[in-house]
Amino acid sequence: MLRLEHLTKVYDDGTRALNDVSFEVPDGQFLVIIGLSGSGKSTLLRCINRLIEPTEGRVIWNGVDVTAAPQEEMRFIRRRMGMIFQSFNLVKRSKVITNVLAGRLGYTNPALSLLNRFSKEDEELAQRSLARVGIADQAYKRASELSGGQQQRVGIARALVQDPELMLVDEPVSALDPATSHSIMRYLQEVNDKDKVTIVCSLHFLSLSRAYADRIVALKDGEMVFDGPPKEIDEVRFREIYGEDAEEVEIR
Amino acid sequence: MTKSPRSKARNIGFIALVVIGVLIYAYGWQATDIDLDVAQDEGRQERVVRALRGLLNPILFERDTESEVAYAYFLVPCTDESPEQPDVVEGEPYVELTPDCGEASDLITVEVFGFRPYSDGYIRWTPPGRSTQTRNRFRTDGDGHFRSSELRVPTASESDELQVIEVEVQWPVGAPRPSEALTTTIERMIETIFLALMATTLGLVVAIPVSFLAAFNLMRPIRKPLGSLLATLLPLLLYALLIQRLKALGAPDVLVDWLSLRPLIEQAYNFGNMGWIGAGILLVLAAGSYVIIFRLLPNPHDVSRRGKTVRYLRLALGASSLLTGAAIASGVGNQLAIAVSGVLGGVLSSVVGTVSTFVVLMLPGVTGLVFAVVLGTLLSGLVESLVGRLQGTAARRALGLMLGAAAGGLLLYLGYTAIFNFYNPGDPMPLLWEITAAGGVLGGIGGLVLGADHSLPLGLIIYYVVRTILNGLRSIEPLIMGIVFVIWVGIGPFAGVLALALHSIAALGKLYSEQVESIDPGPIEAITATGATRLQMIRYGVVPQIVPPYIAFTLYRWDINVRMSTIIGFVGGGGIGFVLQQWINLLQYREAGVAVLAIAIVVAALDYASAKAREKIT
Repeated sequence: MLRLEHLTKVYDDGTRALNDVSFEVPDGQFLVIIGLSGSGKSTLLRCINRLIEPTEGRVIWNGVDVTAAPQEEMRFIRRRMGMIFQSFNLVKRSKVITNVLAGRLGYTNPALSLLNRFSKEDEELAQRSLARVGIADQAYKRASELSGGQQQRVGIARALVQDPELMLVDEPVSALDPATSHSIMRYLQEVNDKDKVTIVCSLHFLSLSRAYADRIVALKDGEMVFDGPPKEIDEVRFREIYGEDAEEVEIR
Repeated sequence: MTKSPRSKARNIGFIALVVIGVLIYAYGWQATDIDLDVAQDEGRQERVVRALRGLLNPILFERDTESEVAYAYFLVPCTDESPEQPDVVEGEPYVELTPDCGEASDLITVEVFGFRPYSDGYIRWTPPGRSTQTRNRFRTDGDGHFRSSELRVPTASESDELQVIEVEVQWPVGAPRPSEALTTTIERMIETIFLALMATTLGLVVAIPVSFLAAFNLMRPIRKPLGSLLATLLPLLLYALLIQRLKALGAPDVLVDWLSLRPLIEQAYNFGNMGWIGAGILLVLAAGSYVIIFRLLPNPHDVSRRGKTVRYLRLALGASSLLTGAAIASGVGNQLAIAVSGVLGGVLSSVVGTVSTFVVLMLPGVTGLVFAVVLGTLLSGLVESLVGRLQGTAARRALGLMLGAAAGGLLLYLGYTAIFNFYNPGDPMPLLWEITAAGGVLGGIGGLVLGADHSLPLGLIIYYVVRTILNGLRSIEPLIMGIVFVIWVGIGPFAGVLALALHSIAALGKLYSEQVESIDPGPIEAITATGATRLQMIRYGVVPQIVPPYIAFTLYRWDINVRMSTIIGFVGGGGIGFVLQQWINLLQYREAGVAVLAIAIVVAALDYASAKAREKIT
């Protein structure tokens, strides 16, 4: 179980990106965080695996205080938290398979992995993950040769080889077209259903959130303004979250 | 129309600027000794034209020459008898002098007959008992005849004996062949290109790791709690203090040697020197450490006390077996060098031998360093867990005070003794204990104020130190570095390699680190998030992104180094500059012209090639 306690992040320039955010995520839940750009979604996700150090508050995961873990322990925590990014964050000049194998780095010996040596099991695992997201035939291409949707699938494969218990997903589809968006979201849903991986995913679009989320948390200016099942978000709630002038857009 | 006051103010400002400009250039004119009269001096112009004529007429090819010689005799001063001239033989050239006697500095007429037509010749005068002087040069006409009334009798040539006048006409025969200057130039040019290659390679080997330390985006996130940083540092400082005190107190060398484990290293080196047996021992060591570290003591991947102990043991074992392995390997390398001494003219042998010697020379120092770091890691882990358990800021501040005072005192003590001994070797040191105490107090105050748990921006500190050193190094010209290295390793290309390598480290370090700073940060984030260590993150997130620009900059640097190595010889750094300077000093401008031409061709060719290659990569 993941628990956020009074999480606050103030950046060096004084921006208060998160303000006293607390909630719990039970194991196996598909949680979607919605909110406008700049509402603190990305900061929240990055505070969970401490890519960004929270200013105040704690992140407790499986009973361990993540925010207090020393660097060495952080390594063991992070490798069970997969992460998927808005701009995919692949190394574009590297091969697809190398990008996926990078997900195993937390498990490999630091010295040996510097020579680009991975065990046979790791290589096979990487191949299987690529097959799962349907791009096994692209394994030896450069990442830059793939389309956006394919690149995001490489990102999912990279997170999968980490054997994660939790996946932090940061706006996975905002760089993709609607059709591809659904295909990516379905892969995430499958990971959630079959592998019982808890998913914390930030999204722009409410319609996508409604389609995939078990539960929605909404952020506005760094504060939590909604926490509940998707169907509870009606017209009034929607305007609270997105502002008076907003109109809901359907993604098909 | 009236002008606004603003425009008046601007006009005054403009005039002031012009006046300041004129003053600056007037001073510059004076300071740089610009002297148009000197430039117009006829003698100087004649000299520069002669030098240019040589430089622009490089002696690339030579031909063999044949010559005809004829003699005539002259008397200074005149006596009653005329000097007897050689017989004129039909078909042979001869010389006539009118008159055939005279005073020193007289002008006499010389006429030559029967030489090879249209050929160059010269007239040499040998006063009795003196050295030969070349007086005139001439060219024969279509009949092989030449006449001049401008042959001057040498001064101070009075004698009873005959003055010998020799006329020689020369002409080239046979096919042209490369001149001596050309072959020397080609040899030296090859040396120059390789000098640049070695300097670039040495430079890049050091510059690559340094460039990561000088990259802001990689270094900024590195922070370490003050307490554990000091705990890492303390064993290193204590070790240095121990060695320094022992040496200062005149302790037997054996003791100091044992502290850096030198006898053990030598023993391992001797094992390696047993040839095949040494190689066998090396293999057994490698296999043994592999089995122990990876099979018997696998990383438990957790943060329990046992997990931490196992990881620490693995680190210590890995470090020891690597160091032992290096010592044995250099022994094996030494044997290998002897075995392959016949191959490739000994080049391979000398390379292997040099590397082995270098490793075995560095090992005692490296061993001490490594063990201090391993010990420091243990201590810093202990301090970190202690800080975690300490309740309240008072206890943390107290720990900070203790560690800070110890580290500050040791640092100033060691730094002061090192600097003092550098400038005044052997003198007694004043104020040593006062300075040490001051360091302790300062460090203590720092530790007290910050507390042992204060997160120190260690990465940024290293970043600024490395940047400052690189900037300092880069501002010293390689020619000046060359002068120092010539003192150290003597005149020759090695000094040039070291000078250019040092400068390349600074220049490449900066260029490389700027590339690291401009990479896409996304992969860094992604790979850090997988639980990779910092080194793994650099290997998989940074390195793939910087390979093309690194290659491009390395080629560019090689290009610059070739340019610089052509002049590093001026200070004794080997390469073509060395012979070029000699030729210029000996006024052999045609030979110097060959070198200048070669430099121009090679630099232009490399410039073009490296530009093309860089275009392809990026």
